[in-house]
Amino acid sequence: MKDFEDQLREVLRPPDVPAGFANRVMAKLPEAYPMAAPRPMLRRVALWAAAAVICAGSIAAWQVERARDERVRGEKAREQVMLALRITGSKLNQAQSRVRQVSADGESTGEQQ
Amino acid sequence: MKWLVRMVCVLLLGVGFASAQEFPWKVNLDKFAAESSETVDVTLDSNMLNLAKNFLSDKDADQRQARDIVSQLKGIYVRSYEFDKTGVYTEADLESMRAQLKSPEWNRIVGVKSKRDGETDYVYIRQTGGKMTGLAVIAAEPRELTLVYIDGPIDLQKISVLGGQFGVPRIDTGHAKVEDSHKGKGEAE
Repeated sequence: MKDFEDQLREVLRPPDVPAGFANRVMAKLPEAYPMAAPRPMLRRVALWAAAAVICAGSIAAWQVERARDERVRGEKAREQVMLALRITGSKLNQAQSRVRQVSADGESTGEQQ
Repeated sequence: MKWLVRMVCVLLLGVGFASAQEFPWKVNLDKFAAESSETVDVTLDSNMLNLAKNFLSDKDADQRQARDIVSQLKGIYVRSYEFDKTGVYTEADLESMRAQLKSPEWNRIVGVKSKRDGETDYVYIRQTGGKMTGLAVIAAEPRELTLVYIDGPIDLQKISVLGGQFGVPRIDTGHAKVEDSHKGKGEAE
């Protein structure tokens, strides 16, 4: 029984690892499982592209906002111009009609201006 | 330290000069604004007028005409106050405003004062080198006070063309002055 156990142990014993086996395995690993190689150029381009997109987006958004502000200011200015001219016109008209009225009153009462 | 004082003085003078360029009347209008139930305050300097020009449409006759008028202007300033009660402004206030439109720079072309209605209208023009370079209007009613100052070369004929559109009267440039202070009917000049 003991012999059988010894035989079994002998069979199942891990084989002796030849010297330098571990190093050889480690050396083969990159070939068997190649790691994602760092591609600095591509990464740099991607970063610059992302930055450019963000910049372009920001500039476009700023331009849109600026154009909107400009339009609001312009429309307000236009309304103010129209209002100012209407007020000016009505006041000039009023002054003119009062002059005419006074002149007419003077004429009707026989007074000369 | 002296340079600082000088600098402050120069700055203050500059600010004073700049504000004087804006509005010919150095009066405290805040008191009228505080008492008014409705206020119109339009301040358009040359930058704002240039901006407005771009937004005045060619398709609209009024706006086209307005663009023609403002194209040469340096500024438009309007202050109009409506009051719920009378007596907010005094005759002295009006007199002070009139006094600031001094000859020979300013010439009064219309002056109407109705004692009956308590209404006063004065129209002044400023002439430089034979050209009209400014228009000032003081229009006062018992419950309303309006001040208009237009800075820049103004062609009265052009404005008179607007008679049917803005209600601007045709004004003779011959400076016809009428004065009527008699019998409470009115005073026109």
